[in-house]
Amino acid sequence: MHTLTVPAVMERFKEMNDFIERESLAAGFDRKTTNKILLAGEEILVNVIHYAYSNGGDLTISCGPAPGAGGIVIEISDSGVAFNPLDAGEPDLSLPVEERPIGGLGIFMVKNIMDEVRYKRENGRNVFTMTKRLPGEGSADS
Amino acid sequence: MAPSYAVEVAGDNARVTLSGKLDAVSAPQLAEELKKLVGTKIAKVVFFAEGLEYLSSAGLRVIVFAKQKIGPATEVIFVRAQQGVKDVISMTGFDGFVTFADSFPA
Repeated sequence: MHTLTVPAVMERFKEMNDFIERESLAAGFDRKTTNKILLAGEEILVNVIHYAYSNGGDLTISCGPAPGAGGIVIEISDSGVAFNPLDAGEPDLSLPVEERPIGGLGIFMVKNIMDEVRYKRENGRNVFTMTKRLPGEGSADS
Repeated sequence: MAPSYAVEVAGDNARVTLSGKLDAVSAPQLAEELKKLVGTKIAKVVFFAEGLEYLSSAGLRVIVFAKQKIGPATEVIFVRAQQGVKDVISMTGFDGFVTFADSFPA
C-alpha cells in the first residue's frame, strides 16, 4: 500500500495525478487503461479540491492491490465537509460555466470506468474507494 | 510546463490545435482562449486533436462551452482524435454533437 498526502489544492494536482499514474502502471495496466483510471481519479480529486475545504486541508491517496487476482484499489480521503460524490450534487451556479460540473457527468464516467466505487463517511473523513481489475478478471472493459 | 493552445480564426472557422493533456489544469486556459470567440460569427470549431493524449471531463466541459456559448448552431469537429480521446467522448454521449473527421477541410 502506497500513500500520498498533500494539500488539497490545484497546484498539487499534477503530483496526485503522477502518483496514481505510477501506481496504475506498476499494477500492470496498459497506457490506455491507465489514462481512464487517471480520468476517474481526476474527477474525484477535483471534487475534493473544489468543495471539501473552505480554509484548506489535506487529501490522502492510497493505492494497493485489488483483492483477488489483480488490479488496483485507489482510496481518496479528506477531512472536509461531508460529501458523497455518488449522490451527484446540484451544480454550483456561482461557478463560471467552464468550471461548473456538467450535472453528474464526472461521476458517471467514474462509475463507467471503474469496476467498483464506494463512499463512506468515517471518523469525520470522506473516504472514496474505487477498484479496477486487470482485464480477464471480471473487469468492466479491456 | 504551461500548455499553449493555438486558436486561429479563418473566415467563420476557428481552428484549435490541441496537444498533451486537456485536464483540470489545462482546460481553464483553453476556455479563456475560446471565450474570445463568443460573439463572433463562428460556424465551426475545429479541434486538431492528433497530439492530444488525454481528455478529462474538465476538457469535455470546454467542448460543451464551445457548443453552448459560441453558438448553439456551432459545429464541433475533432480531427484525427486518438482512440482514447474518442472513447471518452463516446462514453459520455458527447459523440452526438461532435463530428470526428480524418482531415479538415474534409
